[in-house]
Amino acid sequence: MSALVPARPRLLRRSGGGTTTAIRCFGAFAVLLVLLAVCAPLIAPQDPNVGDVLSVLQPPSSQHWLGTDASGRDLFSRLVFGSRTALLGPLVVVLVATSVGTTLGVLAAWNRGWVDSLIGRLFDLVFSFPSMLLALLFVTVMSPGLFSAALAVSIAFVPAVGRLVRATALREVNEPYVQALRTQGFGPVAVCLRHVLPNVWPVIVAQVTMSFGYAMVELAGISFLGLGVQDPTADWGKMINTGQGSIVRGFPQESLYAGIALVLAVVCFISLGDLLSERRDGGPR
Amino acid sequence: MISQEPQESFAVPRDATAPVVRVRDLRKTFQPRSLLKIGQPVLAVDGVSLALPAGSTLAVVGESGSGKTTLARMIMGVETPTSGSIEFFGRAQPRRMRTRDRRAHARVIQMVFQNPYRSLDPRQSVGAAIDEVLRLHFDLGRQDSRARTAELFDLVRLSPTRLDALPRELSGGQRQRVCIARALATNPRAIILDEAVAALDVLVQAQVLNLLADVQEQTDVSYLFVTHDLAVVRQIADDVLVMWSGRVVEHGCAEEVLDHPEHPYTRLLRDSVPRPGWKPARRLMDDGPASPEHA
Repeated sequence: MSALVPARPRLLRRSGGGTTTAIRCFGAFAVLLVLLAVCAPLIAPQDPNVGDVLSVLQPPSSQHWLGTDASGRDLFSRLVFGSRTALLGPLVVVLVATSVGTTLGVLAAWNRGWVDSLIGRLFDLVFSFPSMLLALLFVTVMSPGLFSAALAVSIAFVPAVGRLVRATALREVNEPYVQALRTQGFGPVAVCLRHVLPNVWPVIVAQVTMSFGYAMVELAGISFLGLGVQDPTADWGKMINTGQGSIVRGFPQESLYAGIALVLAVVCFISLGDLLSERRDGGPR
Repeated sequence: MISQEPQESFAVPRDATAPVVRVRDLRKTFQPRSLLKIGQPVLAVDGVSLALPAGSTLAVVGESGSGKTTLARMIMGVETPTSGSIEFFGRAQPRRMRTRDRRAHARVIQMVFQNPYRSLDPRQSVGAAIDEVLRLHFDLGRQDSRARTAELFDLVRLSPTRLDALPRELSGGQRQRVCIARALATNPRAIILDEAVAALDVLVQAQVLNLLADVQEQTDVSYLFVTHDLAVVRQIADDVLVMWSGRVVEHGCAEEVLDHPEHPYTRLLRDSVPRPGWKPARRLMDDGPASPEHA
């Protein structure tokens, strides 16, 4: 008898196995990044956007921990503030892409037939464009900036989420429990929101975490091309770009530090997503 | 598409003396799904008629593929009949069931599905599953609904400590009893049990069958028992209907049919049940086009 299993709140129950040390480590790093972004003004020693023309391209010192850039701005402060756009952009992408993709995916799985075909073709269409090209087209039509860049990347990310959700939801929709609910007279919306979605949820969570990392790369790329975050706001992608000029003059710090920060953050989120989806696959059903 | 029936069409019996369910000449063909529409359509149910009076138990027996589950699914409104009619208390089931129709339908007839492992939402506690059904059909407050759920649990002899359990924390028998409790939640007049005890071991099976008999005594509910197990039929059914490749080959009082089967297929079914001194016989009938009358 497996009696006396303590009941946990429903949202905390995940179908997969336990939380491994790796998941905890990456998770902690992600939380640290978020804290850094939220508390940026408290952590950064100087104003990231105000430069001092008398102290350009300085090596690390007690006053400028990581030195200064070509405009004499404190690099450490800019890195710290750069985490804000680095996290805010992917957050928008993930929210938009996941909500649109999930809605379309569940809609396709539930209705099948021509709705499914139409949504499927729509995904194919968006998917056939290289996502960077799609994003660049969108941003040039709109005005450059963090939000139009994020919106553009969201569109490119919808098919990936949508297809995954559709495949998973299709399996759930064919389960007898969905049929049992339908014969009770529950409407399609109620069944989808209250039953299908919670069962697809672990898949979505894993996908969201991974997309977060990829979105960060895409957005940094757009910023690097000067179509994302605009001056003087600090952003890692843009720092890599503006730092290029200094590399040939023997000061690679700006590009280097921003690059390292970006790689660490991206690796963290992608690995976290990977581990989460592994846990889902390995877990009992 | 447009049904002129008022919203509570099924809830108010048109004719209270009519059988709970009456099926007339029901037929279902499955068209093979292929691009060029090649392949023979499959005749799953071929002209079945039956009546299920209040408070009685009708067993539908037959081997796998004889169309008994399709019959049950059509009565439940999950599958649309190709032709024929289904009536509940003399009121016809609409051809296309909308959510509103299903809701009214669920107050008259309920179904316990074949697989107790998969007919409950894996992420919902079993108490919540029943609670949800109660609140859909009745205007109950949180307290009342919870009390009624506990009552239903008691009725199927499940401990109220299991209310918060997830389906996977329960055994097969317990899960099947949850499904029965859920089916009883709307106070239906009939319950379709599709191989409901087939997945359970004999001890649990006996428990569930006794439980069903008790519930019938208390509530006068009718059962349509879809099964391939003749021992179960003998224990629970008043009438029995034997199906063979979509057709009814024998229909009558359960004892009568089991003790003196008229049709060779019924005899074959009966003689295939293992018992002391039993030797597995070669099949007397094959699945070929030969009709059972000439076998």
